[in-house]
Amino acid sequence: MKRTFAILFIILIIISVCIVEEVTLNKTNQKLDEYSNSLSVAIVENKDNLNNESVLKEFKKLDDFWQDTKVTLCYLTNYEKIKTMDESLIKLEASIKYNDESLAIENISIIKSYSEFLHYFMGFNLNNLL
Amino acid sequence: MITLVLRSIIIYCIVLFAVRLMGKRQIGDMQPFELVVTLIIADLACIPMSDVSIPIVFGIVPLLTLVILHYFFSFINRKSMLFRKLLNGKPIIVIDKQGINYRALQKLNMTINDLTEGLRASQCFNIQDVAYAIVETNGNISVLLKSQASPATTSDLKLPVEETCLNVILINDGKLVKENLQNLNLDCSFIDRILKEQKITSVSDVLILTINSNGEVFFQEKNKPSKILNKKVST
Repeated sequence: MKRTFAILFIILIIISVCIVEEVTLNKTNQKLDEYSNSLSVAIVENKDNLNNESVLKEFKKLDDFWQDTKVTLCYLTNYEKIKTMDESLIKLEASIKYNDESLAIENISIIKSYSEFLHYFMGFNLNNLL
Repeated sequence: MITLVLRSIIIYCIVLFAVRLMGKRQIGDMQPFELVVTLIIADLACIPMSDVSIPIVFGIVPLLTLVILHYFFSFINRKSMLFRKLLNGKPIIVIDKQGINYRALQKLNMTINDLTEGLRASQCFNIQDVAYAIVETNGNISVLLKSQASPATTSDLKLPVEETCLNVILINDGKLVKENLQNLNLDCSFIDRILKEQKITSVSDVLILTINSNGEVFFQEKNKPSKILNKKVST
């Protein structure tokens, strides 16, 4: 009986971890897409002066979201695989600061593709399964 | 480095828990599916233990999944004869009245050396004494000796024998096993009496004290020779 309870408890733990992973992944993917789109719109609209309030506000939203999500992702995936996102955010911040539109757009593209990649390597799909 | 130490402790505890859940079989007595799980668990535990960039969940989740799988397979193994046959195979007779069954040996990938080694491990040194030898599903060889080579038992010799008794430990390395005392309907005064007779002041000085259902007491003080107390104690 004790063993059966232990097994049921383990099954619950595994299911919880799987659900947390899927939810975190979907949320991260969706939010990263949303925030990076708003940021790229703000950058295009303010390409003459990136260092203004609306761009900085959008960047802050993206950065804050990533800093919060990163903590959870560290429990679920290899640290090495989330390093790219941190690097891109640092470059993006610098490009906004030095008013480099092309570099900013380039880094936003990297963030967007990373968001897709995150789902690709962490999510449950046939490619990962095989 | 502290992370590595803590990770090692966590994984050790989880592997220990997993192995305890899986039962008490020795490596040599394992069925094929049990051996597979044990080998994979050992490997899985190492990965997150040594590489801090990998989350500990990467080791724990597959490990726990294997425990569940093992539990599930063991359950079906107990319930279904067909599944048992598929999963574990069936015992194969390698020596019978005709002699060594060469085809069975080939099927088992066994050589004559493996067979004779297995027979020796079963305390059978003369192959001509073997009536039947069976390779069990866990790889052990069970041997049935010919009647003329079988050792005589007390019933063969019609000797009067005393009933075999089970020994129960009452003091284990200086510690009183209260549960066993209660099971025998004894109390601490019984132990005190023996200790007083043996001129011992404390239970912690006793290495072992056992009693069997005949009431015979086996007793050994730490760093002293053992004694069997001839005086029978009624339980």
